Amino acid sequence: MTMFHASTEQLELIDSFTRPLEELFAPARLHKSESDYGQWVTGAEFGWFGISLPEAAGGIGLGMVEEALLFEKFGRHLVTPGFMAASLAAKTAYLCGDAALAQQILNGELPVAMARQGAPGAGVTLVDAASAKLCLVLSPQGTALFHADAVVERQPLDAAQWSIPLQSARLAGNAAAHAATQKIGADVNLLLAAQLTGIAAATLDMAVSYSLLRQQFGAPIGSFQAIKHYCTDMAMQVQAAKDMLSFGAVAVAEARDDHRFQAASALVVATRAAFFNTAKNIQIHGGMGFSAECDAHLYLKRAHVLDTLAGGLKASRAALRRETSIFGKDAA
Amino acid sequence: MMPEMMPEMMDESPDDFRARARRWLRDNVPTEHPPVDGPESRAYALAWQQRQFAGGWAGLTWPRAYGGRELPVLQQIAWFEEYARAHAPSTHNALFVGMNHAGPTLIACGSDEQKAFHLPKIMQGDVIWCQGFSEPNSGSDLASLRTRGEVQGDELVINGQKIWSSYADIADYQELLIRTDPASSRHHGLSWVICPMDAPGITVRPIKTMAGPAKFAEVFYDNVRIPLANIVGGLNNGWKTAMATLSFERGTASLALQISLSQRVEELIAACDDVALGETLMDLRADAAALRAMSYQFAIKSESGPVGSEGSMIRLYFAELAQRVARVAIDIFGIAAPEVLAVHGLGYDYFDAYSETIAGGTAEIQRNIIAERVLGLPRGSR
Repeated sequence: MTMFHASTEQLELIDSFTRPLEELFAPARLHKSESDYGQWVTGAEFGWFGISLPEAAGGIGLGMVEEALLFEKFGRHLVTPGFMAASLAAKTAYLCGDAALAQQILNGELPVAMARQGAPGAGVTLVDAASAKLCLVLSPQGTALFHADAVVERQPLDAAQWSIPLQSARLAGNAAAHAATQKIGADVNLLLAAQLTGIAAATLDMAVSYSLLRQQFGAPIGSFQAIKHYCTDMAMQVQAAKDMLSFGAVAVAEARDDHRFQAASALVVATRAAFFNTAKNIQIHGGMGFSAECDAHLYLKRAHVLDTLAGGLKASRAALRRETSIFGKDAA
Repeated sequence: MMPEMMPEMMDESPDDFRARARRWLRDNVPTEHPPVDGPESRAYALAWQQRQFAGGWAGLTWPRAYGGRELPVLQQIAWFEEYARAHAPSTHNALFVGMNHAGPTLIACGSDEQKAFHLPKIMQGDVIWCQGFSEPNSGSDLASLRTRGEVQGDELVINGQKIWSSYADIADYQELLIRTDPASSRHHGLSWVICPMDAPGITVRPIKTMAGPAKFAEVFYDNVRIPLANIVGGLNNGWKTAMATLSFERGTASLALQISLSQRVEELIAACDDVALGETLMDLRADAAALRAMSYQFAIKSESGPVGSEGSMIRLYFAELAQRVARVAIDIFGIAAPEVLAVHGLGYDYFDAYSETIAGGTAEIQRNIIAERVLGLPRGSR
């Protein structure tokens, strides 16, 4: 039987696998503490860093479909991008034959931070990196794993503005990567798309709940067409992002000819869904939505951070342009 | 007439099925353009349907008992994908109502006699169907309709008027929604009836669309007599039957069109060297890929039971994406290009796409339905 979407079993498995998120990663935690490194060992103990690596390598032995579903949940809970860094770092080390390094990442000994470099030699943007021992650098050249010491001249950016610690930095001139690969671009796109999809879904839920609760003119605001239509637009964005993610993840897991195209599409769709929904969620919450006490802004800001790690929507579209659709002229 | 059952169809792998579809389409897709309206468009649509039936490609998911092939929906999707790649005639033609509304509605709600009589005729390309739901004063508020059918003996006597009835001037049958209980109001007391378009008392006045062709029509009923046996789903139970019809319209009816959007976007990407439009085209490309992913999900789910109102979401996503694709084509080529001006060219597609967010329930009504039935928001004033 040919699969095109995540199965019910896969969805249920990830639901049970991520139950601790509700308690440990309530989004409101970010009002008090913006870094998730206090939970690093927890993430390692739950096996969240190696879900798609073989059991022999210390992973859970599942595939990219399960990993995409896991990271959709991480997006919903605004889990630090460091968890994505850990997963990609372990995979990069594993693919480069450094099983010992992969193992140290998987068991939580070596916390990893996520960084983005726009071009070779350019500066990097570092996310939530204070306690990290390793840095996973995404760039148009692929995925490279560095020792944290190799990322120098760190300047803290205004942390309060983006609700997560950010630094600008650069790679030391003599820095050599522990491991690097160009082979997991589709995995990177899927994990970013998954978190952005989770953000779009969480903000839809938040907007619908508030529309049922909030009364004006003697009725829930969700009974007014203007609000209904916003919520419907948000729901369509979520449906598109979720189905695209699931379809793309299965394409990657099964190594279909067009899996890179599907993963690149998933990122473009999910990024736009996250930006649309986080903005509409703020609008639906009115004055409350504009207040720092409300969670709404946390989702918007995290969408920007993930988009930055992806290189920006412009770059994501340009990357999609380089892929071939099965409907394209040159396609088989 | 049954199509010849070729031995290789048994236990054929999905790849082999697809390859066989591709070969057949390569050899059989008509090279001449479809006429836009009138008797020529009828003849063209029926001939193309007859050719597909003879090749064994009609009614792929329809019940075997009525001449269908009863194949899994994934094979239907594979056929539509190859259909799009082969540039076969758009399924948004005179056959659309029969294949995608009336046929599926009869399969779901029709009597054995109705199914045995009508389904083979639709599938074999013998007949054209049209829809008779909207009235001049009943558009988005369909349940307010007033065309009446009075029960006299074993007949209904119908008086009233329908509008926006696509292909009514060339159709053999109409799916007609009327009020059969004069004391009723709103969605109670309606009936869904099969109306033969040659019945005495029917007058059809074609109306030109903004895209040019006279593709839809007003239909007037003056003491039109139709047997009670033509009621589908029971007397005064027509709202339920009509909702089944609309669930197809809002569900799988547009599967072929949804899938063909990816093909159209790829053609625009290949034709466009304007860097300024590159980002727009990549959004369209990604959204068309997402639509395809949604269509697969919905079609597969719909095989194991009713899927509910989320079909409305996909239908609306498709409608608005189709309009964006049609529009960017004009931006790429300009209004004076031969590709735009041609019969059935990009200009025609662009204008025709304006119907996508109106026909089958406006985008605004769809949004209300999605908000209330999928998201659980409360009903309010319109």
